[in-house]
Amino acid sequence: MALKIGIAGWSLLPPSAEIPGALDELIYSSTSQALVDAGITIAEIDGVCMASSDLNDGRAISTMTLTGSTGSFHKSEMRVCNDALAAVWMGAAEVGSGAAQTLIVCAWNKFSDVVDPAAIPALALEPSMHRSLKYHPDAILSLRESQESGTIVLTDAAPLQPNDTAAAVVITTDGHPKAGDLVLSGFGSSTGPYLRPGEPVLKPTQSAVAAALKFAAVPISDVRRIFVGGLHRISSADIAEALSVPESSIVREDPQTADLGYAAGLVALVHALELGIDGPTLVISAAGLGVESANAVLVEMK
Amino acid sequence: MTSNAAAILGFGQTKFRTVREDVSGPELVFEAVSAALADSQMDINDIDAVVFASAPEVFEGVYEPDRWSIEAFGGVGKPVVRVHTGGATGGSAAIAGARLIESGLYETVLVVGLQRTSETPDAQAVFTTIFDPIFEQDVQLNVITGIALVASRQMEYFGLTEDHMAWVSKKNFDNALLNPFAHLHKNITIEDVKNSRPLAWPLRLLHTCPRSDGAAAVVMTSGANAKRHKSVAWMRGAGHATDVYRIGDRIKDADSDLAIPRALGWACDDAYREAGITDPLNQLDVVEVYAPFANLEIGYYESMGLAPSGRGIELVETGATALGGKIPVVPSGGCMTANPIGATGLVRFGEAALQVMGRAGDHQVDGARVALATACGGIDQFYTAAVLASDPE
Amino acid sequence: MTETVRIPGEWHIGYQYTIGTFASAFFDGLRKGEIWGSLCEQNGEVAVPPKSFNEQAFVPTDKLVQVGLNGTIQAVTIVTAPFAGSPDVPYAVIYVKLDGATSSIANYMHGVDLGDGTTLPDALSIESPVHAVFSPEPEGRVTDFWFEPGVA
Repeated sequence: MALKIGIAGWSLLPPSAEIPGALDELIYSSTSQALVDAGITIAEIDGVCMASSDLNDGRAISTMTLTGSTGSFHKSEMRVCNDALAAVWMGAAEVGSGAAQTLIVCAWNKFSDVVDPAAIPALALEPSMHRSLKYHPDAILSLRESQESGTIVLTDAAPLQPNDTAAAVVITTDGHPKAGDLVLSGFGSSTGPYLRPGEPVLKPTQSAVAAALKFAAVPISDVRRIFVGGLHRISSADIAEALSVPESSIVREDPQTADLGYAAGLVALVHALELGIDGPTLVISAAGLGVESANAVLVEMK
Repeated sequence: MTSNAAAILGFGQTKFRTVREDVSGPELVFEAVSAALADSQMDINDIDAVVFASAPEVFEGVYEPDRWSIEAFGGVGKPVVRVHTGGATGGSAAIAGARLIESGLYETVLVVGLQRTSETPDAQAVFTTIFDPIFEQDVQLNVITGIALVASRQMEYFGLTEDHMAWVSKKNFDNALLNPFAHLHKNITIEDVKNSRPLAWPLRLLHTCPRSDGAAAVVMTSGANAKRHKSVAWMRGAGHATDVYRIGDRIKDADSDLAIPRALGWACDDAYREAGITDPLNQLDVVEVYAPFANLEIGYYESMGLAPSGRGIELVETGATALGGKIPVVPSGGCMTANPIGATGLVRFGEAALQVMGRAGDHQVDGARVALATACGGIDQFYTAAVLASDPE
Repeated sequence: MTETVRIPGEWHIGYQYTIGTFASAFFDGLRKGEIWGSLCEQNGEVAVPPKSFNEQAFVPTDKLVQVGLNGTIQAVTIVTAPFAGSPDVPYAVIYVKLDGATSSIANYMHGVDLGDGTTLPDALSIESPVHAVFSPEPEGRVTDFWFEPGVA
């Protein structure tokens, strides 16, 4: 089943240690700029699909206070709590179902408002068996790598660099007059087990990529570049090997240790769009303590 | 309606309680998912993707509870997305599931809702933190005071009285006695409501909802696949709409009043348009409204188009929304008798599906063929609406 | 039958919320006994507290504007149930539309005998006049002012 989603415009507040302004002002800045870029007015937008984390945002229902800045007043609002590539495929579903013609997909992160962002991942450990042990949450990934490789894996990764950012992409039906010459044509997602080792670390990522390519009927050999969001502790060589692509096709966030929260996947997508698409381009992300929540979308020229 | 409509095959819910000490969070999820799969006559391997619904994770005290529960809903190896729009979460997740199917991305989707409000000692303290940390938390705005402020305008706008609220409370508590899954099974009188503990004028304890532990799950599939099943509920239309955050920006203007949440009207307009409903009072057979407070339900009658402007109280005065009345509202007892926040909207959706499938048990509305289910998040800010029917068109 | 175990836990995450220049101007004003809002020329909204963009018109707001200290009650509740961190009950929270504003702002109402909190005193009924009173010791929080009955 083919589903092609138009891309009308985008914007990005480039990741940095601190972007001044209130969080809703950052979001408004990126969503309003994406509309300008798309040549679409707010009145023409049917809804907004967003990804955000309550803990990163410091609000128990973060979108409740931030919603106005996303552009969702008097419109549909869908909010996911996963990497923003999940918001991309959820938004694609809203457009693809006929429920919306035009949609803003947006995500943000403002770690400069959080006193200690590194304290948040440990709260994703279930409380009775794991959190009580008080080990570093990165040990989850190390244990998986150890099981996979049969070797000792040290948990000594350099700390991530918390970043502020905001990104927005305006998507439309394929035939929309404001749609450009790029389309989202493949959507894949997969999830691994919680905490426990037992399957290859990059299996969910491989599955998500395979699903996106299958959906678009594009072979991996046709893919020109792969933009990566998240997956901080996994090397480009390992990703390339897992996906059977040359390492030169992998494009990472610079630096690779920049922590963009749930915005990582959308920032990677906007990077891809800004650099120019010259053939089938994958954007992938994987989040979760064991990078077990993986998403992939394929961008193609019409 | 689009030709690619999604359909609901089955619904499962746990018994709702203040604390389910016998199970962990994931075990609660497993219970609901198992019930939904059995109700749908489906296997976990039939599921292509999962939408997980849970509202603030501060309640469970586990960040990213979708991962924590993944084995419990059979999500390993599948696409999983968590939806969270506050109280509207369960309603948004149901719409998300439908859109994933209608777009052709996935054939069969499991929608799961979980909330354990018992894990944190003071839910109202959580509810204070949902408010704007700059202007509003310091003046003790929370859900109860927020809805009390709405009630004060309803008294002004359409003449809401304690009698109206007491009638709605008693109706819903009476309905809950017919629903084995309801959290509160209490025989109450109008006098009990009027004499219950005052919380925030004009609201009293029996105008409000309990905090509940519980989970719910719905199995949805494509129209083509649904035709192979005997008992299905068709998703005929859906809408969701958002209002501005600040209550002070929407108290009153030329077109609207905080007394009658306009965003529910917007959501219903979209759902009705998709479903071809032009006269909701006569075309709907039953409504599962997400109204955790008695006064809200009355205001919603108008938002949902069941009553003309300012006349929602007439449905109370004529008993029209009681079981057996012209348009029964929450025959299940609704949120006032069980409120596992992030799952609540999905319970409304599932109950509406059961009604049009004729499988609602003792609280079945005779001959129900078209139902409306809603959900609400924030202080009257996010709304979802879904029209479910026994026939595809 | 096994006795069920519950594992205690707590979350501690600190935040320093950035509020931006518009909101900062509001708190600055409170120190001087002034209340500031923002004007959106496109739809005429004078929002109090101010905001740097108008989410309904989806345009930046044009400027900060000072509003009056007198206003009318638009919504009211008297809280009789204590919540974590709340003042002593009963206390009243009201939304007030200040002169010159199109939106309303929430704050405490002082200076009215609330009795046991189960009946509404006349001074608290909707459309009653109130005025802002400022704390002599501002802390840079919204509680640097409150409302009292009548016109200043």
